[in-house]
Amino acid sequence: MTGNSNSNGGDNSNQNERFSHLIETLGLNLFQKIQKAKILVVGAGGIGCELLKNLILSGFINIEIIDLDTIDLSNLNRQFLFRKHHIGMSKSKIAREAVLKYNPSANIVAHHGDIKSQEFGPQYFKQFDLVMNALDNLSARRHVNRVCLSADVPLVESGTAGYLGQLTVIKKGDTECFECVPTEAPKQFAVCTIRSNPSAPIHCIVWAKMLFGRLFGVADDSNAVTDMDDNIVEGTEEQNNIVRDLQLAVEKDKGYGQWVYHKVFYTDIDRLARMKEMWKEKKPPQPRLLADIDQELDNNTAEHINTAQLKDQKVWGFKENVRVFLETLAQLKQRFEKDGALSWDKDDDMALNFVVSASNIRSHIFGITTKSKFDVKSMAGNIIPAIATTNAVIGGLIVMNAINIIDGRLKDCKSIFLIEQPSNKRMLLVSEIPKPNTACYVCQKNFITIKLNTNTVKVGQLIHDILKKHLAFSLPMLTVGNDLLYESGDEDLSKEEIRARDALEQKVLSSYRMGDNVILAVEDYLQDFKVSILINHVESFGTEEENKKKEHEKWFEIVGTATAAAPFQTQPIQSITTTATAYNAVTDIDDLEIIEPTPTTPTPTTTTTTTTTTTSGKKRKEIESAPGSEDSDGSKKQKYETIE
Amino acid sequence: MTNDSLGAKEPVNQLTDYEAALYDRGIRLWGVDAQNRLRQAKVLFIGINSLMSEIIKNTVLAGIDSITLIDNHIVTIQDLSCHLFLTHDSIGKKRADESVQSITELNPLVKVHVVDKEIESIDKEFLQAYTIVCLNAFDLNLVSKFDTFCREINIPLIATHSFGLYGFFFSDLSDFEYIKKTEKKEKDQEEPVIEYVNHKVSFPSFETAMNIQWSKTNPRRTSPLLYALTVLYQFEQSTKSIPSIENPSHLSKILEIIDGKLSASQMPSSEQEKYLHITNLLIKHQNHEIAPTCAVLGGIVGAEIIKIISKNNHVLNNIFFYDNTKGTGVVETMN
Repeated sequence: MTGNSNSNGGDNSNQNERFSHLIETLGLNLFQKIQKAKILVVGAGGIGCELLKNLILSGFINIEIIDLDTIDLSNLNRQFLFRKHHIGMSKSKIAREAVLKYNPSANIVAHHGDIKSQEFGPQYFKQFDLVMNALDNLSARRHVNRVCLSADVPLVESGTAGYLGQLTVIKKGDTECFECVPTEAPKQFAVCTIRSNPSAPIHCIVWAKMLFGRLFGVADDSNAVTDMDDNIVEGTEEQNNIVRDLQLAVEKDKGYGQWVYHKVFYTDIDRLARMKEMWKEKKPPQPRLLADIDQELDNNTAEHINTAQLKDQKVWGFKENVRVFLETLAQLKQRFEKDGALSWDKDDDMALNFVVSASNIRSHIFGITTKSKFDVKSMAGNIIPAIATTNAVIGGLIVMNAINIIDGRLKDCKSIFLIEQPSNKRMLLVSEIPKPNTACYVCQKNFITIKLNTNTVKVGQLIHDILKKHLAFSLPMLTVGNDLLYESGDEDLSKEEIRARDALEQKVLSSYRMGDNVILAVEDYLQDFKVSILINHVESFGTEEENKKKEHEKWFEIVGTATAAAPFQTQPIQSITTTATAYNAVTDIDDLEIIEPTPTTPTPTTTTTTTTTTTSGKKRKEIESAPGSEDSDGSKKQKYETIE
Repeated sequence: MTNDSLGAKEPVNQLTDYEAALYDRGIRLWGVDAQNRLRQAKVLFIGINSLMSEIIKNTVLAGIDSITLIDNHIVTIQDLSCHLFLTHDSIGKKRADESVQSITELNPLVKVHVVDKEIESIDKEFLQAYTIVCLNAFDLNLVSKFDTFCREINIPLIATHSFGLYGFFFSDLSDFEYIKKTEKKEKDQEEPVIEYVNHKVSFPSFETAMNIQWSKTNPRRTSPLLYALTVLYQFEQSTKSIPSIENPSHLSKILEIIDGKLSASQMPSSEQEKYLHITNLLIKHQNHEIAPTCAVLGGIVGAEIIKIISKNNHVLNNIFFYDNTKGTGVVETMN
């Protein structure tokens, strides 16, 4: 698993001379462990570049890198392995080439791909002694966290934002996992705030991005930002008091730009302004006719500021916004007609200009402060400014924790925060890594593998036969990453949505994103219960003859972890309704075993529990005998000299 | 160096559109004024070892005007260690010369100069041309000498060195002023209120810092590395030489210095062992540079140089110690 030809190759003496400082500092024994270790780096961006450089220069030679991204100009302020002529190329591949220069004999494999794709499942992860995350988004980090738990491989998790950085180590059973503490959900705004009642620039920016999606994106019924042909501004059909904006049809005849402008900045605003009860406490929005704009003064109130400004930091006046809006609208329309649906991207200048101008016009109308292109880009693109120095510090600390893990000293690993200015003299705040949160649905025993044939089993079977009957979910909701795949219950859904769901239930799993190695998050609001389920594809269970003898044909198997394969015969379970609640309440494996299986048939819960116990027991032993703990000099503790 | 941040003159943006795009993330963090100041900064690096290569990488990426390298050392295979700019082909050639090409590739907008000069021959007139001086602090007598020069001409000095798993940097900005922007968000306001606050910080000289009485410190709350550094300083001052772990007379001299400091501070002589151990660790590893230590310390020093040039953020006063065995990084302020 950890063998490598390079470590014992003929150039060993040369290698050792090259790394003489490292060997003097860490000792030859630890250096050899480093050379044997096989590691995975997920992400070759800001932290990734620093980390890869540090790993190679610390003597690591067996490294795989995965990154989906390509190189952009704004990366070059920190992603120092990349050059201007690399823009547009694969980050993982260029990073590999760049660090090979530091050690040409290193064995580095670069994947230009998505960590969430099926090829990088738990089986792939198991070949590594250690995984290191250098990711910039929550959903990929949660994914890697889960796969590492499933494969039982230690993970060093890290992140930076501006001057701030942090890192920690995640080891199944020993430490908190990435999801033990719920992460703050990205800020969401109420629909009415965005559609009808904005009060801050961000509300108008979110609205402008939705308008972009409505006009140029993939058709999406949930995007109800505006209905282009609806000219009703007041009243209802029942009351027979409808007022219409007849000008909308006139503007539509003039051209696309006039039509869109009039609809979103006149008709829709007029309708809102007529809702008198909404504007008791504040000024109603003012609909703006395009024809009136030429007569207005461009009151660009350039306030006096005592700092230098970039071109993009100047706030546009109203007329400038309208001009840019009409211009980008026409250009985007052309692109849409030529290339099809567009997705909004902060680095697409045309798309950015659209959102800047549209949000600012809306802000004007609602009496909200307008923003510069520079600021809108930050807000609309959720830019967290990343700099080289913070990444350098975190990249160095990751390697120190990695070396501790390789040396079998997990207990010496620490959670570390880098802060902007010292707190009580400390720039680096060091703390013990917390123990797992016993209520964590991801890293605690609530982790289940379901083996079945993903090409024949239908979504409906998974929902009703497995999740509801066998795992006692009442209203399972299925998500993968941030995407909602399936929602139970009828109360909150429209007739159309229920019909769509019925159709969905007839699909086979692999055709609806539930193929091999996919990790489903299954949630039940009713029971306040969540569990992660790894789908494992198997062609069949046993021979037909074997199956015929049994009362029911076996078509799936539930096991406690991805690795253990305790056979489980599916049969009707009577006592299942009680188990889910018990499962949820317990905090200890021993408690779970108290649940009595019915005399004739084992309950899936019991099976799951037993499997988990044996598996985790076995795994822990493996860890103890993993490379690193066999200290040839007999010392149990730290390999290198320390102070105090 | 002109004190442009505090002048009444209204700042003007000098960044090109390309620079604005390249340095976009930095500008979003530290602002256009800071970026303009970085753009004018000329940084002098003396002693281009692995740690220094990390610092150079970090400052060059941030977008300074130019760097000047001084180092006539001939590259050996050990020097490759975790150096970012040297390759096997560099062996046998001058370290500063061999670093130029890689640095230029890192950011072609930054000018890279090499001055072929012996470090001992540098005088304060020479230093005058730079915004900040960054010195490899292997030789503490040299740090003392440069610090005296820099204080006289009011040029910021950073001196830094790593010892295997440990490292430090010393900062002397004499009397330093900066303006920090703070955003206060009032309850009923959507937009935060922006305030600019003037700060003045006074830094002690290297000599003052190194001659600190141990009795003026609290050993339980102070990095053990500080004590070791003051021992090394006294050794180098009194013997005019660098201590060697293989020289028994050096080690007895070290012991004598520790005993002297302990008794002068009326600290128990039983503490001798502890401080001897730390000091010997530093002496033993004084030439050992490893990647994780250089990355962390180089990152902290890089950030510090950027803040000092930017003059719009808190600066560390005045010695930072990093311990890679624990991941701790503390700032000790000597006065």
